Amino acid sequence: MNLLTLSIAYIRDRALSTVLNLLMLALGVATIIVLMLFSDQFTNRLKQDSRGIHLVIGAKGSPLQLILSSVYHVDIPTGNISLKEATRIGKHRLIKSAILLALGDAHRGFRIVGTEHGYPALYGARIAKGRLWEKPFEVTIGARVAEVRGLDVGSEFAGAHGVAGTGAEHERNPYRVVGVFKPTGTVIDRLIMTPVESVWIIHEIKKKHKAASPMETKQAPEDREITALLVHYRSPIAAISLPRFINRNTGMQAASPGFEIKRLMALVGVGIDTLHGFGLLLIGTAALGIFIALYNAMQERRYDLVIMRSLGATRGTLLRQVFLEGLIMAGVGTALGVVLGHAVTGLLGQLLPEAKAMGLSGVVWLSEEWYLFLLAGAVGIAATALPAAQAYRADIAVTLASR
Amino acid sequence: MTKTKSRPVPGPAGSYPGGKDRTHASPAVRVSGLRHEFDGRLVLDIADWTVSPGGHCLVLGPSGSGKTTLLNVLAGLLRPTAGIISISGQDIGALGPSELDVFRGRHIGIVFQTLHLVSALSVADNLHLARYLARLPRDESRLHRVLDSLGLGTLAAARPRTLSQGEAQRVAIARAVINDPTVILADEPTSALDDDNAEQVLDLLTGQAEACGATLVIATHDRRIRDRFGALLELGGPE
Repeated sequence: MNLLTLSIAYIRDRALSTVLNLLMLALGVATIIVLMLFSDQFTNRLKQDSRGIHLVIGAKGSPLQLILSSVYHVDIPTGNISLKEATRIGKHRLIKSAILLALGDAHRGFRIVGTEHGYPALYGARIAKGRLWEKPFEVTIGARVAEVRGLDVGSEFAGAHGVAGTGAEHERNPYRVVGVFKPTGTVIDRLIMTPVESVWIIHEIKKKHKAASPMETKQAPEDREITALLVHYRSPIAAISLPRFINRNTGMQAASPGFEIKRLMALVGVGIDTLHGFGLLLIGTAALGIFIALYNAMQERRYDLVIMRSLGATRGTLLRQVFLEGLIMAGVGTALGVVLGHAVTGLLGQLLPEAKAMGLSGVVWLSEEWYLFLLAGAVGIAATALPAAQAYRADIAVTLASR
Repeated sequence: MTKTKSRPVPGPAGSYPGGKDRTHASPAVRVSGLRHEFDGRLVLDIADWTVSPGGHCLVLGPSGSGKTTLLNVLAGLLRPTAGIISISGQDIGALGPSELDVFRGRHIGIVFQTLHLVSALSVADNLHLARYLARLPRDESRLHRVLDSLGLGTLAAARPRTLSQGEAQRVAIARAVINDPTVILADEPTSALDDDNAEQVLDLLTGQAEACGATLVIATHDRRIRDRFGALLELGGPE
């Protein structure tokens, strides 16, 4: 027998109210954990997907849309830009490297990206099977594309017009899978990569409504268009002058992924903050629940407390016992909430396709989670303070006389 | 104000079976110049009263005569307005609050009129709690000896709410003696009992007190048990 076993005995003695209070606290903590894990992994994913890309040059329009469509492949492109102009800018002295992107088609929800070998190299993508694309209509696909669509080296499929892949299919010009990338945990996993020429040929055919050789483009080089140019600066100075230069002196726009994502997070952050507030509200409600439970328990137990004093317990012992009881409830509720939060996050990562594509995982520990235990301690102490003070101040003789 | 009549009789001398040798010790209970007021009214006025070590004393008086107040004062649960209370030579008024709590746990066993067992704990844990709070080590053999001697051997794991009134009263007695106290204070232990059960409870109390060599002080208004005690402190009714 000690204060811990005594506190546990008291907690078990009011099992229903304890379970309900623990559940409420656990739900509050779990809500915050899910949000923390989601926002952390979402932010990391955004950073990973834009690594090595300092600037995106594309058609004028919304800079955020340009970033979302060309870096994260989740929005429709703002339009096309001239290959000639893009190539000229790509040779600017402040640019170390530039990668062409041509979008427009997709296959059953996975985008077909006309690009260069440098694009998967940006993400450190390595071949799992086969090889990189070499000729038009050869594709190398991301791991998630292979898994979901059941494609493998040698498979053929038709692309469909539109980035969602729900438009008319280009059945006469099928793509052939020549390689599959290993999983990277980046946007590469859900892309189908092919030479830029594939996109030019497909859309040239579509424009002119006539058959063309699937292996070559008859379009004059000066007429060719691309969707975006992914730029890597030669030096940080470029970040100051290059975007302004492009936006003022060309028909294109330049957008910085870092800047636009900060803007996006500021917008999304309002929602996340609201949900955080909701989680804190649940924790506050749970704290109130623990307070009410302990307060009522102290009223019911005031004779127990007096008896404990008569058995030799000091006021300090009673104070410690009541605080311990509150801390146990807060600690167990928080621990349950943390476990629940990780389990729910893991489950969401398995069940929701978008979360799965993002690689949302519950098996991630954030250092901020320790603060939740500190918060739980504060909740436990705050909820217990008044009942503990009552136990401390209880007058034995008066309490006994009131019986 | 209460009037008091005392008939002190020394307690049995020598050692007690199973108890501690408290021979030649100072009086187990010494009260001197005790006065206690409540709401400006004098509820207790005892000039001088002693109980010898191992003695049994009855504090008799009608309701409102201050019996429970006296027991609370003796237990250190209530600080009197004036006077000196010594338990086994220790002036409990000289002890600080925490020292007094510890002293009470070690030296005084109390059987309250309303039994007040901790309902969240088993019978055995109620007794373990008494030892823990008195900072005494857990002692399973003593626990079982005490429970067996009170016919509670099979009820160690039972919860208080499942016990009969008689069983609960015996558990309260067990809790009062588990720490081998110097003084056992019992408040109205027979008031709600018929003659036979009152006799049984008194037998248990006196038996347990003798077993641990403790001084027994019983406060009651029950005149049926007056003749069982040689030592008597009679408190008058309120004026």
